[in-house]
Amino acid sequence: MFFNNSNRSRSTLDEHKGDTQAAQAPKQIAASLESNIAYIVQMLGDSPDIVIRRFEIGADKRQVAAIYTDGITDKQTVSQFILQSLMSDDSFDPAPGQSLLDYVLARTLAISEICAKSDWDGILLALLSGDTIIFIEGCTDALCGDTKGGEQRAVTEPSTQVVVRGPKEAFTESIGTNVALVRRKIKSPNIRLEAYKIGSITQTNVAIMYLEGKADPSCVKTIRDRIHRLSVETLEGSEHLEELLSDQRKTAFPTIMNTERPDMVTRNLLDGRITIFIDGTPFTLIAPFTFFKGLISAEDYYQRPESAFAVQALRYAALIIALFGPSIYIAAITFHQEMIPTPLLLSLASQRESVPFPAFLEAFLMEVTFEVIREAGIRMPRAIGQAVSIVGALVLGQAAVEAGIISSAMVIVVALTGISSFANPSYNLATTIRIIRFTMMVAAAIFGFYGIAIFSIFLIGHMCGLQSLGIPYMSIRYPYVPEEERYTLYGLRLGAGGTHAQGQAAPQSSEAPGKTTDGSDP
Amino acid sequence: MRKTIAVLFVLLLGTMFLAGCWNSRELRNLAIVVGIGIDKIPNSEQYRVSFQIVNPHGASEGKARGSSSGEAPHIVYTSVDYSIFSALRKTTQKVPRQLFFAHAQLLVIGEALAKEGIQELFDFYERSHELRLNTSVAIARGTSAESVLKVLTPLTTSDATAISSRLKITSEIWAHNVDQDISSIIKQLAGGGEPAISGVRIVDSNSTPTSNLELKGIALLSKGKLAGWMDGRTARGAVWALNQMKSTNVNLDCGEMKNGISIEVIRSSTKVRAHVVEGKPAFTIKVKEEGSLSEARCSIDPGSKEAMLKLQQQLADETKQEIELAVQAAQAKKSDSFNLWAELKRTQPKLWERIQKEWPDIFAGCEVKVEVEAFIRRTGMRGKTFTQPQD
Repeated sequence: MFFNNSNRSRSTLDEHKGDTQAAQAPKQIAASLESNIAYIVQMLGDSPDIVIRRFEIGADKRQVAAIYTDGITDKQTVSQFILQSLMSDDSFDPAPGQSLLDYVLARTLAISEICAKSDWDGILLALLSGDTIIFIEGCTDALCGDTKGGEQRAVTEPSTQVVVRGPKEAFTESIGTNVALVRRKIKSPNIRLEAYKIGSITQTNVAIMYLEGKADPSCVKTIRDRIHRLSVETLEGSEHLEELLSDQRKTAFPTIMNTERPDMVTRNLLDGRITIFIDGTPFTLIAPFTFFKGLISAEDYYQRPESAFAVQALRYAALIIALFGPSIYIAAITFHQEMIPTPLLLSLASQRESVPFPAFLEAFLMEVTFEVIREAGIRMPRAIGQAVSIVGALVLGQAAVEAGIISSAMVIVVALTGISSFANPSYNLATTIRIIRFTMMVAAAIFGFYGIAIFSIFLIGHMCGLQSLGIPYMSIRYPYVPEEERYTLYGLRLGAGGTHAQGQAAPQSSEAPGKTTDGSDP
Repeated sequence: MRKTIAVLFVLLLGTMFLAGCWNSRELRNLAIVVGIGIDKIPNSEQYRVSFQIVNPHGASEGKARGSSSGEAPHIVYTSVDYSIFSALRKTTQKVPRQLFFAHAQLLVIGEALAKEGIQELFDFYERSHELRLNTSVAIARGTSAESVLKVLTPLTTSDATAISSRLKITSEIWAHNVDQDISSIIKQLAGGGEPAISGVRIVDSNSTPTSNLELKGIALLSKGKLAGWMDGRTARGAVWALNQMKSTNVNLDCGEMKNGISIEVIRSSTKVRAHVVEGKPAFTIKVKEEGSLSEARCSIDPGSKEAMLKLQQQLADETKQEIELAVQAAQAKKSDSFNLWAELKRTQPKLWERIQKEWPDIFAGCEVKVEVEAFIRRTGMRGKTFTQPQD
């Protein structure tokens, strides 16, 4: 695997162990097999899942040990291509001047990826990544054969970013599988993959992928520099890395996008964005990410541009409702009664006759209730989740109105706002919008529409100040290719009309050849 | 420092676009005023001001949550004082909530007050930030404003909304009344003419409280004082002269049968031209109208050109007659309710400057010509009426 022994990989194992064991730890392996085995046993604390298999090879019965970690290695490969091939061949006949190790490497082991190593750091890392280490008595090099395997989740349908029409595969927790899923879609030689290890303890495999010739070199450099500057002990997942790589820390807005769909990654690579794969999570990161991109769903590319545009317009409307809905209600009903049409005002007045709370408190109560139901619903087992939402909707909604604690208009506003916030295709942006909504409600309760306007000005100012890999967050279209604009309808491909000026990167995607020519912002 | 100034600037910039009330007021602490009535106390300088307030319990249209359905949909509070504003403030002694005027839709002026003059009423409307200038105005005909507001009308939550919506609808499709709002009345009073204000009267006043209201006629004011009423065809002539005709129905004679044919006027536009004849102003009112045959109770052949031309002529004659009736009625009361002064001021500013002072008298004597062009465009979904033998 490319994450294995690459010279690009950044090992920080030294720093980690430095203080405690540096004194007695040898850097290189010894010639004695027994001392090597003893060292591994000591280093890994005599862990029971480290399997040590001793055997003899060749006519001179040279002592050999194969060591691997149980569970993350493919046992069949170990026994078939390492043990069997080494033990069955008795006629060892190294050429003059060729060491036994070189002979084994060149002639015996039928493993595709194998190399000789002599430093302990590399050997331990390889062992804990699932490789099999072969020590030969008298050799000062050890062989590391790639036998990674073990139980892994299969490629399944995406669970969070579902589309009606489009590929039904999603990333898994294995970084190798994920990269392969993208490779399968873009067979361009211009794909660049750079592997890193992040976290001095976790040694998590991370890879960045981009399309040479499409991706902005400065963006690639930025992300490379940021990864190099990272010094963390652990990397817990894509959210953690997203936070570490963001341009700004003090913002509620996501400036790096995540997806579990290979087709989204493909599309973004073709548009010149950079993808970051993290081992152990099906969510890959995509940068640079602009705000308006957050309102585009994968589905948009599998529908006709006209209908996709209509749906997008709907999403913008939903965004406005999700952000301003309760605030406008509060402002209109407590500050600007004169702007409500008379029949509506009379109807609202009669509803609010029996409501004992101020409009803001009423709205706040209902919004919090809604958030609680939503939060509870996420982790609820599916069977109970149904019941909870029914109880939440009926008991809290209907009964609160019947009891005269909440006005029915408020229930409508809250329900509409709640539903609207789920129309946002990017889940983390929707969460941000929900947080801001509460602040907006406070602004509306204190200053009415004036408060909403002032808060919005500050909000937009803040958003305009944000950047994602140096790209302004509020860029309407990134990257902007003027000659392609006429083939698009608000960022969506119109027909198959586009011919690409920068033909070097034109991939032979079997899935949708026409789509790859669309260089505009998806 | 610069940043602070920039922030302050942005905050102040917002106030330019967001002028309005900033106090937070909860809806349940507001008494929503939908109609205001003003009467004069006889032999006194004081006004009796009535406020019609919606009762949210009674007006509730949604699910009644244990509210007593017997409650009146609206309540009228009355105060007496020397100015409208002080009467308004005085009312707070009687109303448990804060009065909220932004939704007042109707101003009713008592007939007695209208006869004494309405000019001084509107200053408060222009000066106040809460009252709206697009409030409809009506004069209580033969009764007081207070009793008009106290009437309970079916179909609506308050009779103030009932009257204002009636004004809008009937002036559009029947055109025997005009829907004047306060801003246009002020424009007339400030200029030189007289506003045309519709009258509203209580029909069937014996059977209170469910008696009904009816719009009736257009008031003729002279120097801001109620001088008389125009009714029926005269009132419609006034609507025509005011270029407010949208649609109406005109009955025409058909051979022997009186009023045997109905023509629906579907489009009409009026142009007023001012000339100077021998140093005196004279006017031409030009009407161009289109109608369609909506009902025929006698024999008429819509296929025949002669019959239709004759019908067009009849329609033009009838229109002309009605406008002339209105002009005569207005001239008799020296009341320029038709905006003729505005046209004169526009075309002959110097002459207007000279005669402005004695305009009502000059108006009464000036020559007004009426020219009507009428077209009948459609004859409905049928040819000859079915009682006629088809030939």
